[in-house]
Amino acid sequence: MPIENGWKNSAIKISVIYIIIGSLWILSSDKILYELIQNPVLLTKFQTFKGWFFIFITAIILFLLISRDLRMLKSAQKALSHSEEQYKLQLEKTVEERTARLVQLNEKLEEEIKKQKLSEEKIQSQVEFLRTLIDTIPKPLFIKSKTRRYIDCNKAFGELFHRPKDEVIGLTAYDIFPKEVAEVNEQKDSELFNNPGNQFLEFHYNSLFGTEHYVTINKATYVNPYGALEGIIGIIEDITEYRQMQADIKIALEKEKELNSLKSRFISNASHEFRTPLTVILASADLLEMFGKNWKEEKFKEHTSKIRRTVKYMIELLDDVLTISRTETGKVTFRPENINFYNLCCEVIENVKLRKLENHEIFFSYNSPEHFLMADEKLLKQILLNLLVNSVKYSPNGGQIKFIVDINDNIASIEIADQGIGIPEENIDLLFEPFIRAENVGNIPGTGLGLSIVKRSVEMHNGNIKLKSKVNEGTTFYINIPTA
Amino acid sequence: MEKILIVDDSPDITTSLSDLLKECGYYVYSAHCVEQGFSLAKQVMPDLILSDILMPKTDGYEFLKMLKEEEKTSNIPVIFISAKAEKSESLKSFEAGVCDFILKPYDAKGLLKIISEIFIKAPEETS
Repeated sequence: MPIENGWKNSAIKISVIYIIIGSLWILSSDKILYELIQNPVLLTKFQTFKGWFFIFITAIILFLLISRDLRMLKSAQKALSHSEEQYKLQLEKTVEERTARLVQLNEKLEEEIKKQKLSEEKIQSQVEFLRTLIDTIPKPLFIKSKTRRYIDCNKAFGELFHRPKDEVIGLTAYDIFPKEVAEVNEQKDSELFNNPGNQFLEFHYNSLFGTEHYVTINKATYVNPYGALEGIIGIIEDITEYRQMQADIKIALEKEKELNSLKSRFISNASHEFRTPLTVILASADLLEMFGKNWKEEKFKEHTSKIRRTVKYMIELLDDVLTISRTETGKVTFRPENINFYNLCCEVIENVKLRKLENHEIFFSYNSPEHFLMADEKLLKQILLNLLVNSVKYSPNGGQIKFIVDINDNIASIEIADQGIGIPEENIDLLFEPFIRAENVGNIPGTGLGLSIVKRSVEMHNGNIKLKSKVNEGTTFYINIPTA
Repeated sequence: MEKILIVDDSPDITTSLSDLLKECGYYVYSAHCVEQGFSLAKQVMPDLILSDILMPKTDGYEFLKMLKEEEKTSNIPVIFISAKAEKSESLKSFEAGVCDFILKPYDAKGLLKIISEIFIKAPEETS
């Protein structure tokens, strides 16, 4: 641009100068020539020469000017072409550099993309793994939003509530729990949201499908990466079986406790009952040792027979205790078989008669054509023998003993009644407990175990026993036993 | 000689005890229940009472209480002779105010020794 400008200015300048100098030359040269030369022929000749001279000078100046400009132009052109080449080279170099950088960048980008892809795959597989984990956790697991809707759960959760797990999403506690449980749960959820942390709940309810459940719910609030409260995650544990087991154990324990206290009471009573006859034996032995030498034979014999009698009583007591203990430890098994009940009754009556009957009369009435029934012969014999022997024993003044059997509707009813001393009303309740005897038994010997044994034996037959009694009038026992 | 009252619901025991004590020269009275024993005690004013604990209707503790509450009999020493072997039973007896607790079966010589010691210890109470 400066070259072009200079050139332009110079052209105008030169033209102006040329016009001025030319005009001055034409005006002044003619005047001078007129002054100097008066000869007209010479003047004309000079004037022609002056014209040619002017053209010649002008041509030289023009030549100089034009050649100068051309030279300038040429050099400018040269400079231009040179810089163009330079520029071209520079450009090529730059393009090359840029391309290299681009290639490099591209490679880097590709690598990045690869990496990204890999990490995405990794994340995807981790998400899948997490999903598998959640679904495989054998305990029901759920995630709840702040709106208290289930937004996720696992398979076990779906199974607990009999729903495919996808259907659970979007539901509330009211859709899966009975109303009263859902209400409490909702309230506890809002408490947890107000006071973030952990929460433990236990519910007992009948499910919407009618099954009974005991569950515990362990809940915790969770936050998003920016620390804002997002929802609740919880694990439900169905402890129904555990609770039932616990209840069973509790019942078993109670039973065991009861049995234990019964046993220890029994042992304590048994110890007491054994000490009494032992006292009699020891006392008689001491007396014989200390004073026997001076005693008459009669007195001596009184004590030896006392020892014998007491030993016999102790054996009886021991047998009864063993029988009771066998029934208590389940060693007496109930073995029902088809037995001739009529014959059994007769056999027992004979057995009782063999013992010392004084003025007693046994009235036996068997009011059924059916002589056979299903029962445990040994136990049934024990029942009848005990009751009949008692009837004789507790009727010291004799009297009639009624023994009546009826079989109706597969039930054998047995009635044994005496006219003896009777049982005071206040003693009846505890009479079937071991070692309990009525207070009016006086000197009549007995272990207090007979009726216990009878009751247990009747119960093993799935039967029942009752009694009616009036002091000094007599006692009646009623037994019902299923015959099949 | 000293008078001893025996109260036990088992007739075998009362006869054994009374045979033993009679042989040793004591005057012996026996009763088979607390009610009978209490009226006999007031009547004969024994120097010592040997009583069982577990008896139908009224037990030995109740008997002891009756004796202590009755002015006449409140100073009569009482010994329990019982088959109740639990340690708690003898402690309970001493708390109730017996002179001694003898477990059945008793040894005759041991029993006589205890009785004689009681009479030596408290001669002024034994008329």
